[in-house]
Amino acid sequence: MKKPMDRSGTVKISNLQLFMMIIATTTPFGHFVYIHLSYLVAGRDAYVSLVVGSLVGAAIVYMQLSLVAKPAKYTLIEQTQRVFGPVFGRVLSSFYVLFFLLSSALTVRILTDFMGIILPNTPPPLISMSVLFLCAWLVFAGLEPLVRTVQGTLPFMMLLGIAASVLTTPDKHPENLLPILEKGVVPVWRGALIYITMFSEWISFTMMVSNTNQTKRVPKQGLMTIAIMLLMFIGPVTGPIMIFGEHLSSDTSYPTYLEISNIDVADFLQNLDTIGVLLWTVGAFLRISTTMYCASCGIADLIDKKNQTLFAFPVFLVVEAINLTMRQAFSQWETFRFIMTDYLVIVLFISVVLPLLTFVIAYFRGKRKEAAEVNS
Amino acid sequence: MFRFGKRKKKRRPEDPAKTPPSLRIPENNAPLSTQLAQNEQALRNVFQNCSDIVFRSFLMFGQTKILVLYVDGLVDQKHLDNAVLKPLMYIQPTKSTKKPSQAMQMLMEQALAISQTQTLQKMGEVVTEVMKGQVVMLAEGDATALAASILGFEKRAVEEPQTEAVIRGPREGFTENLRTNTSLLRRRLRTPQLKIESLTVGVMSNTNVAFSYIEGVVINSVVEEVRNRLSRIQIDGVLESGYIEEFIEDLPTSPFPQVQYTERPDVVAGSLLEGKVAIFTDGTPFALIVPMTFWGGLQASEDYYTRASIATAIRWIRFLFLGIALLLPSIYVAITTFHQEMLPTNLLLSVAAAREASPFPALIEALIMEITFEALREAGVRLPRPVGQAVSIVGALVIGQAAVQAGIVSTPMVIVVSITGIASFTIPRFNLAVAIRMLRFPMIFLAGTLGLYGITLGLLAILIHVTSLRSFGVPYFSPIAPLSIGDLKDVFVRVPWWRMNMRPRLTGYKNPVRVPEGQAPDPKRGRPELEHEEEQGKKK
Repeated sequence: MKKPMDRSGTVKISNLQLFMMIIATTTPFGHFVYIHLSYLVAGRDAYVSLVVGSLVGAAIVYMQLSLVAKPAKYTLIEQTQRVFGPVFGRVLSSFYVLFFLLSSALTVRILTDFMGIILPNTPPPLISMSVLFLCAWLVFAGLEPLVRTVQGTLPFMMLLGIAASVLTTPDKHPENLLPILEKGVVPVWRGALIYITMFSEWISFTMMVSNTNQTKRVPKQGLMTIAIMLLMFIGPVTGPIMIFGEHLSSDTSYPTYLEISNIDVADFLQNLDTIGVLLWTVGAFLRISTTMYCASCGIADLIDKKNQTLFAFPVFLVVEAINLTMRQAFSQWETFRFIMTDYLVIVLFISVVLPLLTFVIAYFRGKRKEAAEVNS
Repeated sequence: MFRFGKRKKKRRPEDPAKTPPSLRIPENNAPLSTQLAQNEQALRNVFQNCSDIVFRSFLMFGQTKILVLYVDGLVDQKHLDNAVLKPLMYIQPTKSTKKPSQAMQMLMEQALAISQTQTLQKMGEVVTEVMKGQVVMLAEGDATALAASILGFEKRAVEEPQTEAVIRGPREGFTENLRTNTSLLRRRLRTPQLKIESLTVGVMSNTNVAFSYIEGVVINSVVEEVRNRLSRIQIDGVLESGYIEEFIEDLPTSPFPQVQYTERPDVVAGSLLEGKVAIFTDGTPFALIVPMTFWGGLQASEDYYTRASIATAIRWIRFLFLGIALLLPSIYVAITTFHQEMLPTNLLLSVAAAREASPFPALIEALIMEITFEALREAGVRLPRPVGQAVSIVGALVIGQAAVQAGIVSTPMVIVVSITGIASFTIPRFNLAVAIRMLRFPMIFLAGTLGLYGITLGLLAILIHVTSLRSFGVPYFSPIAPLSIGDLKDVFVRVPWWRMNMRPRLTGYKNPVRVPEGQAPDPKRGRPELEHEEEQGKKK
């Protein structure tokens, strides 16, 4: 059985810091990408999808976090190797690493597309390389600067987000949300799958749970964070529909950005696109850094290296290579379609099937061990 | 294979044998001789060609030959004549004074009216004490020397600090004299818990350095770290506290200062009460304070003397202008270059009309103006005071106006640079303000190449850097990251003193309570009869 890596002197983070990181990495990407995707499939019922997705997501997140919270000393990859053995465990673990790399590249791709709107003449590789280099620097600096950067940015992001939400209130028409379930429950379920994907991506944070100072409390606090996320999403999910209506919101690539751009208070406070750019860039940056950190940790765990940020710059190069390949292969619309179809399946396999299998085997092994101890 | 990833800090060799000969302290451990002539010859050899060293011989009580040694100009001549020479030449000897081997003992106990004296046994000690400005006496037949402190050199009086002026607050500032500075501090903290430890740094300069802290408040590990870092310094001379600052900083290559400096005794006292350590260097009025945080650099001493609500409002103005000082030129460049649609139409038309005549892109225009402004500021500091002010005004008004009329730069750019220049002076700590001013240039460059996206990346890079920094073990960006909610009472707001119950968590946890709870001003507090009356009134 695999012994936990000796990580004496490794950084400890508080549970609050972990959940701040989860919120900071999920919210901006969710607002800019997943909300739009849920509009495409669920239309005006996207907020119902959000509620359903949150309920299912809560169960998935609880299972994921419990998988690493109970042994407390292991990262997801170490736990997988512990359960499945060194060879098969490593094979399965490498899927997680590939997933972290893919997730980073996908975020970079979407960020580059978005920046293409405001910087049409700037070469996309320059945009992606600049943000990836910064992410690699942060990953190399370690977990402590990563969580502190989140702490330094999240309050401002939340304030800006709340301000944007409040400033758009006068233009909102709640009647645009009616009627509910006009097209039945199938679109709602398809929309819910988008949000289930979003919550399932929290598998990344199982690489950091062993660094928290109250590891055993993480799963329950994860459920509370889902409730907070629900509150943070309900405004942005309903906002564009209430302002622009179902069709315009679905046809626009970034409806929440359009909502922010549309703010006009007393002919003075207007053209606040800056807020959108700031929120989106910072949010994407934090998301890429986190997944790159997980990829670097994952590689270190796979080859039993103690220094978890050693592979920050190699990961940077690999992510950029995947991003450039995707840029060659997919258009912007095809990228969104990829997220709604293939990526969704990948996420559900990596974040639900694999951890669930690991969880069940670990659970029954634990029971058998307990029984053996009682008998002896 | 992956050894490149291991971050090893290269330290300079600690082994004394590896220290360059020029930095080795020449130790002369030879004991003093009982033969005065032999001692005198040895000292004359050491002080050869030192015309300011005075050797004065005389007969004590007409019997024992005494040699007095001092540096001319460092000693109070009048006091030397009255307290040393006169009594020794005219006092009549007693039986106990006749033993030459105890001459120094007798001098110290019976003859010299000087409070600070010490006996010396080695030749090296004699040389060191003479260099420190002490008067050293050697006697025939005695292998002990006596050092007496009769310091009397020219020094500046205590004046109001030029760089940290306040409207309300003490007007005293530190001087170049170390003892004057420690006395100014002692007058504010009259407790034996205030400790002042001394050491000498610099092989040639032999500069006196002292560090002070409040025992029982400061965390011992911080004091130990200061002691270690100071004792590790190997240099030929220390002429200002800046030398020491660069030796003891956690990351000297960072643009952000990790050591705070001040000329004000009240700032030092306030910092010591927060569990920090102050370092004084002889020869400079600037004391160093460690650990320093980013937010500490935005706090002025006056914040604590004015009304809490006003201080909070002023702090917010400071935060706003910190953002302007760092970002305004880059935002202007980004918007005029990439994001014109973000400006309201009327404003866009005004800016476009003003920029029409300018031949340069906004990026170049901003860089030219900012560099010119920095040059004017630097020239204003270096030029003689009466001329400096005139040149600054001429530079700012005439050159600016002429440049606009000639169509070299646009009017909005002049406005932006002027506001930015003023904004940078709202930051209370000069070294932090300089860091912000210098970071403005890469931000302008990023804005000119990547627009708002570049500005955001620049801000993130700064954030990554400051969150990675530490000052003597304290995270530089605390109490925001890592978050310490209790310490926010003195960051975004300045709560009233009666609410400032706890010291900062990271530096003052050893003795956390600063102000006991329940001291909010209330006419009834501590007067039970009034409270009783109120209760009676409620019952009725």
